[in-house]
Amino acid sequence: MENKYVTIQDVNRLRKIFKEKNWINFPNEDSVFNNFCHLLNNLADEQKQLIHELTEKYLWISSNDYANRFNTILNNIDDNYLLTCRKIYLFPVIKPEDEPNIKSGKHCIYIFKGLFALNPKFSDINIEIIEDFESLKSIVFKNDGSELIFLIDDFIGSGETFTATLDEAKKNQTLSEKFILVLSLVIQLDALNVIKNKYGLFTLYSELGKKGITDEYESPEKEQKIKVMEQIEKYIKPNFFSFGYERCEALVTMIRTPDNTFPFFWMKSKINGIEFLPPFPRN
Amino acid sequence: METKELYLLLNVVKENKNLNLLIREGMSYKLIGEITEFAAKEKLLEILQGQITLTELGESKLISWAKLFKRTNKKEWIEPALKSKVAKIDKNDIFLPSQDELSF
Repeated sequence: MENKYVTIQDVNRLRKIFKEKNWINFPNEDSVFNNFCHLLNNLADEQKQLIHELTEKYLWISSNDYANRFNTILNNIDDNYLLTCRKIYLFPVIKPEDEPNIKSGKHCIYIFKGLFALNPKFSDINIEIIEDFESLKSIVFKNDGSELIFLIDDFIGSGETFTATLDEAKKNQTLSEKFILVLSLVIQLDALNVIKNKYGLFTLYSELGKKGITDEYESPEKEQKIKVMEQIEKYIKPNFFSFGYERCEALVTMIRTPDNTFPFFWMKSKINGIEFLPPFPRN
Repeated sequence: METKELYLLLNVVKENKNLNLLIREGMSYKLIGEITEFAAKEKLLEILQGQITLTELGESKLISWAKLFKRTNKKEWIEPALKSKVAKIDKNDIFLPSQDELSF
């Protein structure tokens, strides 16, 4: 039987990734690093190899980075959108049933509100947060280019939450998709295609995420890597989070790790009866 | 970082030993990574295409530190298996352990 343990080469390779990505300056990176290694210490060589490769593609955005990235998104909004604009409404990407809960979209709205106030590009524009779906449905939108609606989140994964948001919002019949912009720190390619092709909405983002295995490897390597991940997931038993919610295969952690990310990175593993913490726990 | 930790790490590289030994000594993986980087900077280790080997300088340091850190006192590295210890009994008593309590 193959010996499963982390080698000094593994530790060094992981450290190199942490340094190249500047993660060594992130809060609590030592616990992330140590949890990574404790898990690698129980994986076979080809499993470790896959985790190294996925970690090389992994995106970790710390909360300190939100404002800069969001401000860059604001600066990238085409001036043509703003020529006649006098008012921008901000609304989070959120499922109606999640509205009472603290969700990432709401958090992002307040960061944006502060950024608008400081960004000279928007100095002549009135910014208004729409608090809930009830308020959204009661607004009579002008649809003459003087008002825009920004739908905001830090991560759009499968597009399911976005679709639920838009479907509910469209109950306001004065809402026109022509004046809606979607702003997200990270968006998965599949979700971007849904938003673009199904709804024809203009989307601005800081990072575009691909499926970590399916979009990154060619056959037959792809099928082989999928098998390796399935072996790793036997230690996790992620049920419907297998390969990430809706099989998004995301490789991203922000303030929280989206459940669309491969569960290896955020769910506990149980190997030979011992429980191991993931590198990026969600709780 | 202590010299002893550096010594233990060089020893692991030379003997191609398991890192669990360093973890048992109380070192974290993060520290192991930092010491490896330090040792490479000091030319005690060489990292070529991800493979890590001891340099001649590393070898000679290891030999000179061995006298300082080599543990000859077996009490320092062999621990009694206390959980298997039973209370002392009389030489004429017969000890029949419960099947559930057996740990060996």
